[in-house]
Amino acid sequence: MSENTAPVPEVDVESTPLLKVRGLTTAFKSSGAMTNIIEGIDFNLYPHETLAIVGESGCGKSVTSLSIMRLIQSPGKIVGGSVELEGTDLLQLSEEEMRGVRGNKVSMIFQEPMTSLNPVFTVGSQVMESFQIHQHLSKPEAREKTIEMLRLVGIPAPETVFKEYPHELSGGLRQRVMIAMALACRPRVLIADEPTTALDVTIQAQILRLLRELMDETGTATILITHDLGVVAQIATYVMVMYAGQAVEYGSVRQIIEDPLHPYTLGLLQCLPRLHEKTDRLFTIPGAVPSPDSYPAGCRFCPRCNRACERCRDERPPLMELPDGRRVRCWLYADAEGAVDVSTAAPKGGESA
Amino acid sequence: MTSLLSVKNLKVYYPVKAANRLSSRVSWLKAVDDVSLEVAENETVGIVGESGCGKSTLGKAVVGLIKPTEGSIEFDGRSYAEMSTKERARNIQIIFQDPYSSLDPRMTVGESIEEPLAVIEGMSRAERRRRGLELMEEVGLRPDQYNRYPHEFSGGQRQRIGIARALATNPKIVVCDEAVSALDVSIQAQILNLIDDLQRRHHLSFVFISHNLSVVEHICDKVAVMYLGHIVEYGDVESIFENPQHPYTKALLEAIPQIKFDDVEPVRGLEGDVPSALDPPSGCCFHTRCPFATECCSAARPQTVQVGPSHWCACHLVTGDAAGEGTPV
Amino acid sequence: MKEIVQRFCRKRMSVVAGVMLILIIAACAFAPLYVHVDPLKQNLFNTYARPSAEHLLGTDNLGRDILVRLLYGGRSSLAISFSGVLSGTAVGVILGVIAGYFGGIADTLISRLIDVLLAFPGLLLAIVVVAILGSGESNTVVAIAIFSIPTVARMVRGEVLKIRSADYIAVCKVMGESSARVIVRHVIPNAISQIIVNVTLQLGTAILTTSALSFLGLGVQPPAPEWGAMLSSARDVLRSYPLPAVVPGIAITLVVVCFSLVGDGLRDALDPRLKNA
Repeated sequence: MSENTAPVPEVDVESTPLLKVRGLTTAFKSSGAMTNIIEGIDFNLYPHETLAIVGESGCGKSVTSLSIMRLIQSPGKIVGGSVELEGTDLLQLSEEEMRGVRGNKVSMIFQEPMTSLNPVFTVGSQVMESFQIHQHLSKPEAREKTIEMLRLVGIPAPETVFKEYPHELSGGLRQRVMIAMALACRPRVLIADEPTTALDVTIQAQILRLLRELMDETGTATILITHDLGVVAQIATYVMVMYAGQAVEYGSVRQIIEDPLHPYTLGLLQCLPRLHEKTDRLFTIPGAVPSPDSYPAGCRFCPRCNRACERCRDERPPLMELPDGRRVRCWLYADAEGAVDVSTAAPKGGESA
Repeated sequence: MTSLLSVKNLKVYYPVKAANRLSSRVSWLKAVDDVSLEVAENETVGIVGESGCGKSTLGKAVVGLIKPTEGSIEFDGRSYAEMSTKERARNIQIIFQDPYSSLDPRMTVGESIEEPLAVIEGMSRAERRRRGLELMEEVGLRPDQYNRYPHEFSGGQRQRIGIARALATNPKIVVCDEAVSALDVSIQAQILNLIDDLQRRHHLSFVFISHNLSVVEHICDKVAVMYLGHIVEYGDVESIFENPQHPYTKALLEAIPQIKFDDVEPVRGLEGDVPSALDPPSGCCFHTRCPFATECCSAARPQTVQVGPSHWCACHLVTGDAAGEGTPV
Repeated sequence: MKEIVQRFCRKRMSVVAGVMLILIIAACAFAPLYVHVDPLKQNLFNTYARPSAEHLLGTDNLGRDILVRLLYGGRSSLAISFSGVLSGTAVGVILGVIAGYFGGIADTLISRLIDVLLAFPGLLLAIVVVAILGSGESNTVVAIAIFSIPTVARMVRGEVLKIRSADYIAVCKVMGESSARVIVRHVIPNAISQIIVNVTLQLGTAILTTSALSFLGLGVQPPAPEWGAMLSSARDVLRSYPLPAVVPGIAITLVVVCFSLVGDGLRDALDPRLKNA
């Protein structure tokens, strides 16, 4: 049986995905029972591509990225699925082997660059470290590479910054240093968790521009975790919208922004005040995101949805793939022509080749 | 429209001790430097700018949390110095950004909302309770949540509690310090609509401090753009957003990632960081990052001039002092 | 409140320690009600008696009943520790709140005072106090109080600094609430859980200090029973007949360990960071 699950619209079918995530499920222990925080996350990531994972707080977007990096800490646990990076399932690796992957093949940048950098070491020594650990370079070589890297991320006077401590830098510069650290070993995949949320708009624009240029140059594929649809429109190629631990919609950035299918995606886009489009009243999604231990029986968005019907209340909608490659988890599209159920029911690695 | 609140030549300087312990030299951090602002009844004035521009300090000075170094603030024609704290607090209230830190975790929702009534109005317990429940209904909370504690609420609901508390004494002016910035977009829309409803119902004036220009455009009537303690541009929201005059305002507007695909080559945007407020640049404070800066800009501080029916700007390019390219009218 | 109890009960060791403490405290506190033997009654014809039905834990060098002395001794050890720690905490909280809330010169003065007190090793400080004031129960209480002031004050100061920067305090200031009202209504209630934990942990140390002072002959004076004093009088015969020393030794260890376990449990139960917000 050939693979029928790869959502590959507008992408060369010949190319193989860099990262293949299937049925990724992570649970947290709360008051004795394991509760799934994310459930059956599926996606492919191709070189040069940026996949944006969008959603509100508590939707599981950060847990998804931490699960891919296997950085989930107790009481959390990855309970199913697979994360294949160029053919190897990261979830099957030993902790030792995983350390060789982190920061080397897959690296990550976080929202708050101050807490991600060690305050007692100079910027240079921290960036140098990854060269020394992963590429076993000598000190002078690593130093040279580091300065080259700092220059690449647009830091003026990299020789001076090399010797400075994190607190001596501005937020924008710190985030650039983080990016330099993350890209030091030319990772195949970069996970950026809200990389610009803590920054001012003019600095955010600088960082987004830098990320875009670096992606083009190095071919690194990016997973961008964000809540800001503006950032998504500027930088993403594909978008996965998450709600309450599940992917509710997946498609190319144009499809999602210009023609959203899921009522939640539509709501998110409508409730944002937009520049130069003054409306009298904002559209709102009523209520708030349910907590993982009180998910409704049917569709998780049903209580807040303005198009909900009987079926939504009682039955869980499957993830449907439409003929144009988009995926949506909503009963409204269940009977659409050519819609195929692609939800991974059991979070087991059963479908691997 | 007469102005309800008027801020005149306000300066807020913080003393900063030199890093060297031996020297007793004190330098001044000019958080707000010579700012004037008017807020009319039933009007929402936005204050925008990047972090460190002094917008929060200005807001805190307006509610009396910070004493101005120089200048005055007047409410309804009377300066703060002539008013009692209670009188000021009755009329001017504040809503903070972080709904987690703005409520006392050891107090029930009811106690929190009623605190201003007890402190400022000295109401009896029964009166307070009646008003408290009324306020809860007004901001969309259920009466059965009266005895709950803040940790049982989501961020959006906590922000509603904060709003109810701010409205308790029927103030005329409410300062919103990044009041929706910490909220998710769907919740943000709910709160913005609530603020809008409250304004209609009670003819409130808001001073809306935010870094989010889209939100400011949506909710405000007037906007002041701040940079390093100065207001660089001020005017009607339409005028500023449709026809920005100051290069900084233009850069801010261009930097917002927009949710559309116009296939236009992205603008280069501003380079570098905001300079330190401890050692602000000479002349026009923006000249170090301004793409149009001329010699004149580093020499003299630009005057604020009227550039439209309700639009003021402080830039040498606009006043024509600098021989810049394409001087706008 | 119910939540806190539930969280506390999740820690088995702390619950066991708590129950044990309550039993020990009750046994000592109510000793006069059910023990009708005078702890001071000597019987020089029956010294160093082995445990028997008449004397469950035997007798000491003067033929006094060890169990009775243990119970009465616990009474004074615990009473001294409690009153010392509580009064020390009261002073410490006041100093800490003033330093943390008002800052400025008050903070500088109080912080330096704390530094001075902390510079002495704890027991030495207590000895100095008793040496100046003279020995005896009430002076031991004062020594314990002074001994616990700096730790409490420093902890409260840090806690208040954290609370003071919260936005709800700013809201109070906007309303023109008086500092006294802010402190009583907002600052103290938010620091109280930390204070309770600290009191519990301090009680363990205080028991040790009380006993140590009495052991050195600076605290409770013989013939009055006290755990440290009992240890002291038994040390001469430690090699030949260790029981009179072992019994109060075990009592001290047990109580100190229990207080520390309960303190740990309370800290985890009251820590708002663990609260599922």
